Amino acid sequence: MQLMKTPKSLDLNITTKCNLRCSYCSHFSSAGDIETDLPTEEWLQFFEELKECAVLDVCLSGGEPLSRNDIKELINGIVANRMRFSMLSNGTLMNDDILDFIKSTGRCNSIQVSIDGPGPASHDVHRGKGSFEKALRGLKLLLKHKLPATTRVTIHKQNYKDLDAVAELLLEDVGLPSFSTNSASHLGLCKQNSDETQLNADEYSYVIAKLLELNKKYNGRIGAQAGPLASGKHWKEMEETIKSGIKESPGCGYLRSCGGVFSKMAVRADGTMIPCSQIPHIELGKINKDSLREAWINHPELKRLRDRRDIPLKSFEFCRDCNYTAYCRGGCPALAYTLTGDENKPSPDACYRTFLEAGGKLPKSN
Amino acid sequence: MNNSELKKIICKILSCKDKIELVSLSNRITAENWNYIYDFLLSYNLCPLFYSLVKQNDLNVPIEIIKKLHKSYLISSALHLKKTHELKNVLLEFNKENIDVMPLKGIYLAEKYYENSALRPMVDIDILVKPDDVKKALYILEKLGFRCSKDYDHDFQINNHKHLPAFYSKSNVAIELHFTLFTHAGYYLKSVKIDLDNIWSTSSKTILYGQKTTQMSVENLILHLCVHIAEDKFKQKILHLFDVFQVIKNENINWQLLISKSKEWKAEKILYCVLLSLNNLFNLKINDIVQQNLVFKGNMSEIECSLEKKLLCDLSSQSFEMVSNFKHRNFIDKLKYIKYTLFSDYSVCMFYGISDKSFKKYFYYIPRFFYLFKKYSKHFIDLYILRKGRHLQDTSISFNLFDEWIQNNEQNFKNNK
Amino acid sequence: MQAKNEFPTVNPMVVYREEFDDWAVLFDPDTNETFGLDPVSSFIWKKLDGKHSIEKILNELDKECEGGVPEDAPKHIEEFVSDLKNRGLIGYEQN
Repeated sequence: MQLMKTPKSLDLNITTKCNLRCSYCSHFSSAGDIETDLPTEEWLQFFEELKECAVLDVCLSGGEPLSRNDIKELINGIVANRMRFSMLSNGTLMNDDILDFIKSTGRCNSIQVSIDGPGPASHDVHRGKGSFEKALRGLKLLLKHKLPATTRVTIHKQNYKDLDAVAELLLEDVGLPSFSTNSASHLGLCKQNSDETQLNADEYSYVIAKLLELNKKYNGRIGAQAGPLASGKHWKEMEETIKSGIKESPGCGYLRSCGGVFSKMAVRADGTMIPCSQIPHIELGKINKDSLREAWINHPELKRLRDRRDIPLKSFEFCRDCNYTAYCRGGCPALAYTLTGDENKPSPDACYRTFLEAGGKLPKSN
Repeated sequence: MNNSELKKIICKILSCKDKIELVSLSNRITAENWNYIYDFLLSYNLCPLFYSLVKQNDLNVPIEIIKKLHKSYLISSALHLKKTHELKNVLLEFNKENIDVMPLKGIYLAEKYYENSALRPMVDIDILVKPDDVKKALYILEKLGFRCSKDYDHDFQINNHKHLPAFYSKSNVAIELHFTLFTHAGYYLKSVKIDLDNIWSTSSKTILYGQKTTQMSVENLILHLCVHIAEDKFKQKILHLFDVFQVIKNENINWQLLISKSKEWKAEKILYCVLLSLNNLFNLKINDIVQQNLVFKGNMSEIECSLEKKLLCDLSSQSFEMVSNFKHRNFIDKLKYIKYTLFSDYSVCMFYGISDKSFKKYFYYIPRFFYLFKKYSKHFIDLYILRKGRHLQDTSISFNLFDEWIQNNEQNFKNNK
Repeated sequence: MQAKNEFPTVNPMVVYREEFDDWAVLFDPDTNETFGLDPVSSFIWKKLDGKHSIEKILNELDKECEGGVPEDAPKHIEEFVSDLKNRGLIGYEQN
């Protein structure tokens, strides 16, 4: 796969601070959970380098990006350096002033607000008391300001039975065009709270069936890049491909799930360049001290992650005799690392065979 | 040299044609002042104009500043080309449907009165159509792919505003569709009256950007520009004054007609203040007919001083706005201002995008109160409890003096001419 | 009105991003529009520096291309530059 001369976009964790402590947060207790934030000038200087590298857009996250007092200055810096931006937010710190400002830039691609349930019961349980009302208010403020709002629903043990109600709330009551889903993943704080948050195989099966059903009901307005819906679709496709007699799926049979390292990078809140926000332990250099372009092209750790796609699944003992190897792409390297200690291994989290052996099942096709 | 003096030198440079004098003026600016001057030029939208002068006259300006000015110029040039492309399509369609249209302000002035349109930056395109043609014009804009930036009540806008909210093309060009030139929905300039029928009846046909269109008479154009400057309370309107300067320089003005029209519009003081500013900032001598006919009661030297402060002021903070709008009014005026800000249909319905005929507006008074409380409470505490910002007070007293004078039509002429 | 002695020049707020094999992308951050440039368009874009007239660009392109440029090249270049102009991707330098 050809490599771009510079990353097209970057995920910038502009702060380590957050006003919430969600039980399954991938940031806190990870390598990205650092002591202090970078000062404004460091980020502004870095944005100039991004401009020289023709980076097109950045995604602001953290922590909670709106907890930075200088957020307007940072956004102005992004705008002045010819970039667009999006934001991942818990929605609780939104107000008319900041949204007016964001709207006035004309450069906002999207703002994602996390909403976990149709009401406080299933949202606040892992996000904190009162957070549902504030997040919903934040979402409605975004819509009032006609900003491109998206929502992420993180599915866990306490809300997985509420998906009908969540879909109704977001797609009918609030009127969003779509929302995305994922399940609580074994990263950050979730590792400590896994029993209270992560779905077991039965629950996962239920969620897959429910999301597929809801996605059909709402004409494709529910999305996912990972988690039950993404896995469910992929695994159903696997079964159908096998049934049709095709021996292997294009691009499968190797560790090829992740294409991120070919088009984007990330930066931790302390200015350390990393391959991805979910792999904060792999350090590629420091912004404003090390060249972004140089790290992008030549850093051995990035090369190692890119070479991942040439590693055949059959080279792993666990996958050697698996019936699904030829249709599998090995899953997320971040989850592979957190579960096995090595990014360049298949992730058990994405393994269909593991899912089936644990008692999981896919819904019957209509 | 203080900031006002620096700004005045820049204004003189903008209007000067003599190369030797230009170089001499620019040499009065020392190296440490240029960053401030660049910020001034940027916030007043004067970068492209100044860049042009620097380039043509090889003025002594630091390289980094020239680079920034150059960048501003190029952006203005590119955006102007995009705007004119969109405008041409709009004018073409309007002509097909026999809709009379009058491009206004920047988009008109850039083509007619600036040697290079890129020197006159603008945020959006303003066009005027007759009130009866608004719906047809709107249909055409929507057919061309323009979409409104926000929800609005059409009838409320027609009854209370002078244009619809901005409509944006796919290429992000904004058009404001005007159907009148002035309304009294605002709190300022209550006595100004513009005869829209006269605007149209005295207009003439012209070609703009290769398309047939309509233009105002020169006298109406000057007055419209003057009223537009006054609507924004003369604050930081250097570029708009320069527009008037360009028109006067390039046209044969019927001064008698201009003065008599200003009386019809009840805008004599406004016209006088603009001409006075052009004299003080751009060395444009006030015509003798004007000097003889526009003579006012009041402490004119104080008025002149306030006017200059307004044009060149750096103050635009919310604290200053609060002091300026509220603190120095008398008690009755304060109550009127609160009523207008909080309870007027204009404030509530404009802000929330609802019809003034809907009973729903009454439910918005409480959220409006909380919105204003959140917006101003910090400044209220700073100004009234912590007593910060006393330096704002003198300036705001001066500004209010000017505002009261310019709106007071009873105290007009010394001579009844 | 247009000033005399003008040469097209790129809008400094537009991003030119080289991709693979001499192809590139133009990105307007204000409209979020992206335009693909083939190697010939990329070549032309890089010459829009306020110092090259269309004719000069055509001559340089002619030297770069094996066998020279086709007969209708001037028309295509004019159309390309006009399209860039209409989209606000270029302005005109004052020389």
